[in-house]
Amino acid sequence: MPLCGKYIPPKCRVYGAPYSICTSRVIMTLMEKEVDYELRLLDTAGRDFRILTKEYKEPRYLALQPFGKTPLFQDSEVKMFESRAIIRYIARKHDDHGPHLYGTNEKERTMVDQWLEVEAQNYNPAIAPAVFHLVFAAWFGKIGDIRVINPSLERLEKVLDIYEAQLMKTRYLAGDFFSLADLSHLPFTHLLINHAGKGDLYSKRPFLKAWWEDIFSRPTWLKHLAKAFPHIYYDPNE
Amino acid sequence: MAIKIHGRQLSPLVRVAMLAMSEMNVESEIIEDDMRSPEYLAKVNPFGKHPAVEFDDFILYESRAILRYVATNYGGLHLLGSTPKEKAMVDQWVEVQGCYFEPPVRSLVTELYFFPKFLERVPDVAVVEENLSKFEKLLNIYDAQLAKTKYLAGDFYSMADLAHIPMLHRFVVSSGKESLVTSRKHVNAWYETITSRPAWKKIVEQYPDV
Repeated sequence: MPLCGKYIPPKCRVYGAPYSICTSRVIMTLMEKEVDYELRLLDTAGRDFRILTKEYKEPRYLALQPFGKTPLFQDSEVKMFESRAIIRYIARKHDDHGPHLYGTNEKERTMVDQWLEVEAQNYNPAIAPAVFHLVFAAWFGKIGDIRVINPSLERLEKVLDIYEAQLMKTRYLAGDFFSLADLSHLPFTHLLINHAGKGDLYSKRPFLKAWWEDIFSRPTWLKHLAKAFPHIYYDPNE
Repeated sequence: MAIKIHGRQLSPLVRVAMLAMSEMNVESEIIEDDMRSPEYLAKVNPFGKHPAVEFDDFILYESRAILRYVATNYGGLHLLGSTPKEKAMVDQWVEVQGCYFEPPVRSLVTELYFFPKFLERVPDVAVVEENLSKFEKLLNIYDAQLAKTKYLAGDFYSMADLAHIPMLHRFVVSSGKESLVTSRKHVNAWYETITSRPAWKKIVEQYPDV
């Protein structure tokens, strides 16, 4: 927000860090839809040492995002938060071009909604503790707690069995089309497989393996990884 | 023909589905089956949870997905928001309900109501304290929002408000900690408004607490 002068609403702005789970979802969706956006780097985890002040705790940020989290999304029509709500907004707004991330009919949209909920309520709670302790802990110079990691992975395996059964029936989670539901899984799953070395949980389930290899190799995801982690990944399509 | 809702009527999560039907004046019946049975897992919801609802040719689970579907198909499109901005605000507050409201309040309702009443189990003090603290912080944010708008997503009742009703009502009526809600002016006013809706009163009357 400018400190003085006329307020010009942003064309499309995302507050957050590109390597953050929730902000990744929004960036991925914008890239899939080829929407230009401006990233305002804001790191609530304190990982990016270029951020000297805790902007997300300042009143003017809290006025926009009262939970003090990222991402925050702004365009000429909305100011909103919650990544899964933002990606629905973007998918609806730009439905006329790019992949139909929210389905092409009402029935498909319902399935996307169901699997987005599944991701939030069943997958996320199982995978998040493992990733926090296996990956994020090390980023902050800490050691993960095995008493948290093991139950988390056990819980995740039960969820993965259900995913395997679903993916025997449909090519992607909500049907035979790539959707917001599949996209939503990318950030945490990538970290678990490629940073925590737990790929065997996925590779031993053939349909899950095929699904993961498919969504992981989407050009937008590889491009995003190269931008978010430039010291680790390069974009093979460039 | 009545739409089948799988789950126990007492569950606040199942009551979200029941309330959705009630708001749309759709007849529904409750099937209280065992969520852990192999048959339920195979045919109804592989995640072993409720509610799950049987529509014409498919079964849908996850309460918020069910709510969206019922609103869309049974005359409740206004509950989802009418403009892109309204839809965005509804989606935003529905996510808040699912990710920030439901986990601590479900835990509180379980510890303070379900465990003592049905399992003769004493509440875990540490769990209760932790979740009360989370809920209080959340309610401060809600109070600030509801000072600006009559309902969560704007000045219109939406599925974001609806999704809160069963769990919030149970918390206020049965937890002994209702002051968290009643002491906050705007939250309390919103609570009174949404729980006075005829569709919710109908459910409470049909299924009184024993």
